[in-house]
Amino acid sequence: MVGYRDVVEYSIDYGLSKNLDMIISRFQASNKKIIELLNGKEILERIDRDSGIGIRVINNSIHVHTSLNVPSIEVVKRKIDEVYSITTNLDSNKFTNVEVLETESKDVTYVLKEDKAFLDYENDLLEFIRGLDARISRYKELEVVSRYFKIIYTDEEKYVVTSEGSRIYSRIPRLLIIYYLTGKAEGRFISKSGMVGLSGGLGALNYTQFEEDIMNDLKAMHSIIFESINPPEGELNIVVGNEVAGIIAHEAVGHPSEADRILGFEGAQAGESYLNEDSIDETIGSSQVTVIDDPTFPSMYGFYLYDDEGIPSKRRFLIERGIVKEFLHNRLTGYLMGTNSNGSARSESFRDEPLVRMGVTFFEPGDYELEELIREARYGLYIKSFTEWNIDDLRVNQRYVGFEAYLIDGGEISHPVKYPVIETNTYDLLSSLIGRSKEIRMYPGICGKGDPMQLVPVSFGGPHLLFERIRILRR
Amino acid sequence: MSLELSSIYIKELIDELYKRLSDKGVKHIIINGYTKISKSFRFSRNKIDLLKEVLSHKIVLGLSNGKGIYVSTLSDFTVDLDEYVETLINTLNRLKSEIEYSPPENGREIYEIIPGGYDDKILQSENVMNFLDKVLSGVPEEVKLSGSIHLNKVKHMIKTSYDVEGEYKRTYYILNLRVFKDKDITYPLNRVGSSFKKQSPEPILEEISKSLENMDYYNKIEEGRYNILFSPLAFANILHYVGSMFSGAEIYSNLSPFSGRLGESITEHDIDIYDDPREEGSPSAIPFDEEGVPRKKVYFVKNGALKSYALNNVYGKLLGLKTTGHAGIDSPYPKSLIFKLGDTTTTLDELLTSLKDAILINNLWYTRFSNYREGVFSTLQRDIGLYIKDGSFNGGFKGARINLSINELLQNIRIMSKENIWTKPWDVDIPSKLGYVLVENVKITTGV
Repeated sequence: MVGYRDVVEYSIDYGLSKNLDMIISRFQASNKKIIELLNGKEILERIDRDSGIGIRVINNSIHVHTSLNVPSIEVVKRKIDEVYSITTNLDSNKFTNVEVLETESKDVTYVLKEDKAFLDYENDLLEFIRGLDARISRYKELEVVSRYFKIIYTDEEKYVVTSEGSRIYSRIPRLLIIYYLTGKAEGRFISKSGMVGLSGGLGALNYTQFEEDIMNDLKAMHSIIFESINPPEGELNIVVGNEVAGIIAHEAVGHPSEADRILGFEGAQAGESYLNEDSIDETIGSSQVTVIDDPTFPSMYGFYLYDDEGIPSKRRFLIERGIVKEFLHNRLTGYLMGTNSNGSARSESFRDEPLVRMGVTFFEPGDYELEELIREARYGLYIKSFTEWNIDDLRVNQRYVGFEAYLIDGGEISHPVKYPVIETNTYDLLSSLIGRSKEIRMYPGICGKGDPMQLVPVSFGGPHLLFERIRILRR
Repeated sequence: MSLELSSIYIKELIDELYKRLSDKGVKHIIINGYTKISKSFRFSRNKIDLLKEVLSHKIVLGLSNGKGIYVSTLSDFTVDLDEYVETLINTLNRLKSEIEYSPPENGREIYEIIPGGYDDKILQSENVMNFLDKVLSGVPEEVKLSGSIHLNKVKHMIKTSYDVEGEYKRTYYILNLRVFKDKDITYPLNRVGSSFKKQSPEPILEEISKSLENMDYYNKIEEGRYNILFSPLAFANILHYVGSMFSGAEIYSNLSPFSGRLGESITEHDIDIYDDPREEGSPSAIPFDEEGVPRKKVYFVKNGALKSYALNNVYGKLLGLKTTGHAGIDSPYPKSLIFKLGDTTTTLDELLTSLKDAILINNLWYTRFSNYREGVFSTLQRDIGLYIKDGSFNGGFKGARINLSINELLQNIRIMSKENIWTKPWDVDIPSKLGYVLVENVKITTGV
C-alpha cells in the first residue's frame, strides 16, 4: 500500500499534467483519544483514527473539492479525471467564477512539541480530575448530583501541497476538557458547562486555574439558587469578564469579518454579515474597540501557523480603534475581493473544503485594573461568565445570559444577581465600549460552519470590558 | 461519477480485524463497517459555487471483556493493523470501568433494505444539475437563492461475537435553500428524504413564489407574549433538542428534563413523538443499529406520557432497561423524530383561518440552553416571520427571540396541521417529520 504523501504528490503532478488551473492537495489525519468520567468513574474510553486526502481544484473558474480515504494512486487518478471532465464539460456561466492569485511557494515543516505529552501523562490528568471530582462531591453548600468530564486529545497532522509548489507539513496536538455540572437544591436543578483547552502538551495546562474556575462555577450555582437577587432591568453600565469579552469578539466581530459570509457563500448555512465588501475603513465602534485574530499563539487551542491552502497565518486587525480594517480571507475570497489570502482557510477533516475561519480572536487589552472599571461603572452589573447565548443571521441581534454575576453599587461589587440577560445589537454594543482592563485571558471553543457543518478548534478572549448603557433583561 | 458502494475492502477488513481480536481472546466484539459516498452542490446568489464529493470508509468497533466497553473508530486505512490491534488490546486490558457489560441478545442475521429507503440512482448528478438549472433560472430576477443539495449513499455492515451479522444500504438527500429578496428579507425552504427523484422544481418554485407575496414589508417585532405558529422547519429545530434529551446518555448523566420521569405524563396534550425507520420517505431508513439490534417503531412520548428513552445496550443496562435499537455503541440517540398531535385533521389553511392573533415563525437557529436539566433555552428567529390577524397574513417581522423551557413548550402546544413533511434544519442533526405547530403564550424578546 502506498502512503498518503505519495498520493498527495501524485495528485499534484497528475493535476498539472491535465493543465488544471489550480490544485491543492491535502493529507489530513487526526488521532484522537476520548475519555469520559461521570461522578468520578470512567464511563467511556475511545480512540479514533482518521486520515485521507482532500483535493481542491479550480479549473475553468469552477470550484470542486473531492476527497477520499482510500490511499490509492489509481483511485486518485480516476477522481482527478472525473474532476477534469466535470470542469471542462459543464457551462461555467452557471458557476460563481473563481480564480486564485499566485502566491510564493514555501517548503515548511512545523511540529508543535508537547511539553508533557498527553499520552505519557494522561494518568496525571485523570488523577487530577478524579481529585477535583471528589472535591466537588464534598461541596457542602450544594448537592452536585452529576459531575461529567470529557477529555478529548487530538493529534492533528496535515501535509498541504499546492500546484505552485508549496509543501507545508504540520503537526499540532490539542487537548480539550469539557465539563457539565448539575446541582440540586430545594427541588430545583441548576446546570453549568465549561471548557478548558490548549495546543501542545499538558505542561501548558493551568491546573490551578482549572480548579478555581470549577469552584467559582459551584459558588455561582449556589448563589443563583440561594442568594442571588433579580438584576435591575433597563440600560445599565456593565463590566463583562474575559469569557464574555471573548464570546462577543468571536460572534459579533470575528464571524462577520469572514469574507465568505460577506460574499454570501454561507447564506443558507452559517449566515451572512452586517459588513459588506465596502465596509473597510468604516467606523463600527468606539475608539476602544480593537479586535484581533491571531492564530500564531502556540499554546492556544485555535493555534496554527499555516492554513489549509499553504498560506501563513498572521495577526489580523479586524477592527482597530473602532474602524473596520481587515476581513478574514482564504484564496478564493481574496481573489473575489481583489486582495490576498491572510491565511484563514481551515477544514475539519480531509472530507471538507477549507472555509474561512477564525483562529484566536480577542479584544485588545487596555490600561485599567478591573477595580478601576468597576469603580468607573458606579452602578450596574459585573457579568463575569455566561451560559446561554445566541446571535442572528447578520450578526447584529445578540444575547448573552450571565452566570456568575454581581450588582455594582457605589463603584463596588455588591450582591450576586440571577441570570442577567444582555440583549442588544452589535452597533450599540461596540459603540458603548468605554474601558478595557490590562489583563487578558483566552478560552477554547468549537466553532461550526459550512454544510455539512465543520467544527474547528478556536480560541477567544479579551480583557474585562466596561460598556455604558447596555440593555439588561431578566431571564 | 463512477465510484459505487464497493465494500469488498471493508468486508475483508472487518473479517481480518474480527479474526485478530478473537484470536487475542477478546470476549465481546462488535465491528461495524461503513462505506459512504456523498455529493454536494452548493450555490449562492444564483450561481453554483462548489461541487463536492466524498468517498469515505469507516470501521466502528466495540470491545469488552465484561467490564465497560471500549470504542474505536478507524477511518485511517494506512494504519499498521498489528500496531492498531495491539493498541486496542492494551487499552482494553487497562480499562478501569466498573460497568458490567454483556452483549445484546444474540443470533440474528439481518440483511434488509427498508422499502423506499434506498434509491440506487440517487447520485446521478444530471438530475440535480437539471433541477438546479430550473430552480436557479426560474426565480424572479430580483430574487437570489443560496443553499445546497446533498446526496448520500451509505452501506453499513456488521459482524459481532454474539452471532449478529448483517448489512443494508440506504440513501438520503438534504435540500437546504434560502430565498433572499434582499440581505434582510429571506425565506427558508428545506426538504430531506430517502430519494431525490420525487423532488421536482415546480413545487419549489411555487413555494418560492408564494413566499414572495408576503415579503414586501416587515418591521421589528414588539416584545411580549405571542401565540406562535411554527413552520415544520422551525419546530424541527426545537424538536431536535427535545429528542436529544431522550438519549439514555443525557438521562443517566442528569442532563435532561426527562431524567427520572419515565411513565409520567409530561404534557396534558395528546402528543406522540416516535422514531420509526419504516416511516414513509424517512432519510433514516436504518434497519439495525451499531450493536446489530433491529430497529423498530419506538414511542418516546405517547398520548402525552414519557414511554421510552433512546437506549443502546450499555445505557439500557445502566438505567435498568433494555436497548431500544438506538446505538451508537458509546452513546444512543434518536435517528429520526416523528411528531404527532392528536388525531390531526386540520389543514394548514383551516388552521390559519382559525387564528385571530398570532405570528408565524419560519425558521430558527442558535437554540442554546442556560439550564439543561430544567430544559431552559432561547432560540432565535431566522428568516422573515409573518403576523397573522383574523386568519390572514398581515405583514412581516424580524428580530424575535423565543424564551422557553421544554416543559412550558410541551404544556402550551395546541394544534398541528394535517400536512407534514420531512425536514432537517442546517444546524441540527436529527431529521423530523411534522406539520405546522401552534404554541400559545410564548415570551419573545428582541435584542434592542
